[in-house]
Amino acid sequence: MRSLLRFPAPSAPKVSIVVPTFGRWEWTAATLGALLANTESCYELIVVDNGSPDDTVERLTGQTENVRLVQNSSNLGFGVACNQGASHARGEFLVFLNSDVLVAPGWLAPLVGRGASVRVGAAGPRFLDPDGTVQEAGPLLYRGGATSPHGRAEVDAQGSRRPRIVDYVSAACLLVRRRAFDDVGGFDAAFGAGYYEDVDLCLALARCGFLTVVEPRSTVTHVFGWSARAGRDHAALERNRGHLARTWHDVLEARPPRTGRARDLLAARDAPAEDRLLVVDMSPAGASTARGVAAHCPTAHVALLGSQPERGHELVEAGIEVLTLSDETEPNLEAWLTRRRFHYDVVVSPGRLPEGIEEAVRSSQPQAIWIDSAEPASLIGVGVAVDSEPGSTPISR
Amino acid sequence: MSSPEQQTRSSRVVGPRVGLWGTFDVDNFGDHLFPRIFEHELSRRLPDVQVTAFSPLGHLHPVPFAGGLHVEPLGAWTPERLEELAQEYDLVAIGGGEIVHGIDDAYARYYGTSVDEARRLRPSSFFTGGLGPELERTHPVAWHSVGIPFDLEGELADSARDVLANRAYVTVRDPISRERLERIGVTREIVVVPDSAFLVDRIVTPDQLQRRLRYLREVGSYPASDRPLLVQSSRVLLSHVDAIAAALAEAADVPLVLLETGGCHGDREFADALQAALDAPVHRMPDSPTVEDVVAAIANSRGFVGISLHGNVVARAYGLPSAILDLGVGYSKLAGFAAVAGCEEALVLEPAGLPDAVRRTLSTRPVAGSLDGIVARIDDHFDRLADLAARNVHRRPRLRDSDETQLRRAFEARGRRIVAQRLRLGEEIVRLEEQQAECERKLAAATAELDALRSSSANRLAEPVRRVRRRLRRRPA
Repeated sequence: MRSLLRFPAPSAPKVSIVVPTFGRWEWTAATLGALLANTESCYELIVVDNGSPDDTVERLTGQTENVRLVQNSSNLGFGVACNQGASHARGEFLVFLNSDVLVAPGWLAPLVGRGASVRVGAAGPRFLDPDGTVQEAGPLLYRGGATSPHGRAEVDAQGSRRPRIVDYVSAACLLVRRRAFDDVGGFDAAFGAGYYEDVDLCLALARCGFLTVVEPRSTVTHVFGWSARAGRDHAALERNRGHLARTWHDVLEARPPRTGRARDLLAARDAPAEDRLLVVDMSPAGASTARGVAAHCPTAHVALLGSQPERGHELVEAGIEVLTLSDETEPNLEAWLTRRRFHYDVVVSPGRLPEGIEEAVRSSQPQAIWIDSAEPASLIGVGVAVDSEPGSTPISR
Repeated sequence: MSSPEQQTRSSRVVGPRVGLWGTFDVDNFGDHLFPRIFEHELSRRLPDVQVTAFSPLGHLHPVPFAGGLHVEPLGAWTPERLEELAQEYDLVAIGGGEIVHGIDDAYARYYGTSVDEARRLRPSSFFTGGLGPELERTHPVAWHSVGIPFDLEGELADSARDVLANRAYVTVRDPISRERLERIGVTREIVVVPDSAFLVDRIVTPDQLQRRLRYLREVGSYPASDRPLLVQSSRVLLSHVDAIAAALAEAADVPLVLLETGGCHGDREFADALQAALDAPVHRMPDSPTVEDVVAAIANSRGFVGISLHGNVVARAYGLPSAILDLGVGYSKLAGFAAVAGCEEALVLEPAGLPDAVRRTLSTRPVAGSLDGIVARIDDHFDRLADLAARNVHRRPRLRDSDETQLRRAFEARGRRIVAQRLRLGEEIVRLEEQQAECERKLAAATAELDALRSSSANRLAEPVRRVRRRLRRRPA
């Protein structure tokens, strides 16, 4: 017996979820089922069918309720379909969702929570493979428009758990503030059937002053059941990459090359942040110092080089990268600093440092300005973007 | 526009707080231009301004045209509600749109509610009465280029006259609206300020227009290359569909795009009827266009033929010709617009005038700079609104220094440039270090080879011979 997927029909939805479809009803049904089971109710669902060659439309009509269905007679591509769905939306936020993505319980609230910050234009979850391993948690963008997933690299073991500002998030699951989406003109139809339209959108948001963030507390599984990974159109991919590279040449020139080297990976990871701050504090107050800096500088990348902070995982979940020194300090520290050579704008070091550590840090960061206080006035004095009344911020909580 | 979350930051807001009241929750294109343009223009003048939009139902009646704009509900009119609103804002601005009338019943249709509910809400009392004479002595209110569609009579006229006597700033969008106020005895200054939608090109960038145009072409709503004629009307002109179709048929070689500016007035009914009446195929705009879609469609057209006031305003804003279809309906807003824009010849009062109007629209070339005077008047108006808002903010304690948005962005851009330069320098340093290491390796290898040669037995054996040669070279000739 076919079960009816009865979706909510709020009179004033906060979120409008847009799902483009193109055949493969079995994947769409699974996506819609997970959505219904795992999503809090103040949303409306809009499905845009791109001319499915099978009985997907009939199934949607017969097996779902309270779904606004937009039908195209042919496949107009992902971006155009999303624009169509967005134009019917009544919510303050849009979520674009692939029909091969399974959302996990509690996936939406953290994304909407990020969206509550006025500076956030887009937010994305952590993507998992069907076996539960991390697929990506905030991809990286390189010079020339090359990209790579992130969240599994050994050089950034905390990468899949730390919320951070990113260049873009995959539109397989992407929350966008509706006003911001309209302000930039939506997805650009110039990207045709797909590839790089999400990168383009997020860069357009950034140009208007909006941030894109990845929120690992939101988790979805991307099955890649039918879409790009299974059969990539390499010609279209390369054509779109070229279009992106021409459109955003000035932004991409400020990104490192994609070499696979740890140094370039970390530079790409932290490039979207407005400032890069290194807190070096071996005292028990180090964690508190780092939290203070992160709270005052919501658009910065903040790293803590300290002794074993209590509840270090909480710092990571607050968006702070943590390196704790142990008995194996020397090789650990040297490798860590070598990968981050020339990386930081400011080093915050409130107290005396053990012998060798200050020298090692200064040697790897000759360009950084050193300050001995984490107070906002000190940070402002060296040109760091400071929110002097920390409240609802893009990253730190 | 501020959301509830942003409202919780109100104690931190140091710039002026402005409440904008209007009908930004109805399914009508023009109403959604007002809050965007208002916020944009105030923000240019007052970087720290916080603008909050209010409408009768606000976000409780969301419509796609709103584009996610957060609009607070005015709710039901009560003196307590007015008091609450007065305390929160340094300035209340009311408008734009044709919202000064006493017909609360009409809102029932716009919101899909009962007449009783519409009467309970009393939107007209907000828009006409503002905060009321008492509160407005200490809390400034401005009418922001409102339209007055009918003569005001009876109690409504009396209360309007009373409250306008001391209102901080009164502006209407056309001379006909001003005359209606003068007829009920309003003697204070009434400024005619053209509809703010004439500034639409300030809120929609060329890049946005191109992106939306590409999208419209992709979905088949716009011709691929030719510039079309845009046509629009509502159910009030259904009886003239055949005459309009006949006039359009004379422009057989120009693609037509049928535009709907919202569900409020039955545009779809008209578009369906017109499409059926026309012999040639037409393009239809998407059934739920965004504001940017409508602007892009008009801005890239050859001209606009329609009854929509804001369709005509947007066309003129982009220097394009338009034909204002009145056809005996007698909307004073259309005559008022024609007077303000100086395009009375574009007003089509009777069906007999349709063929000429279409021909004229197609043959008139776009004129740049024709709106300079209008734009200047609207800019002056926003200057005055900003001044009103700023004057009152000094009653509140300042919490921190304000910063110029543009200056901040310039510093941010410079910071990004510095980081990019540092990245390149870092790469260059690493490259040179590797080069240096390679050179040192080569040097070490060459030195080792040289040392090996020097310490070889052949070299040692030949040393005496080399010593003799050196001495012979040094002897004078």
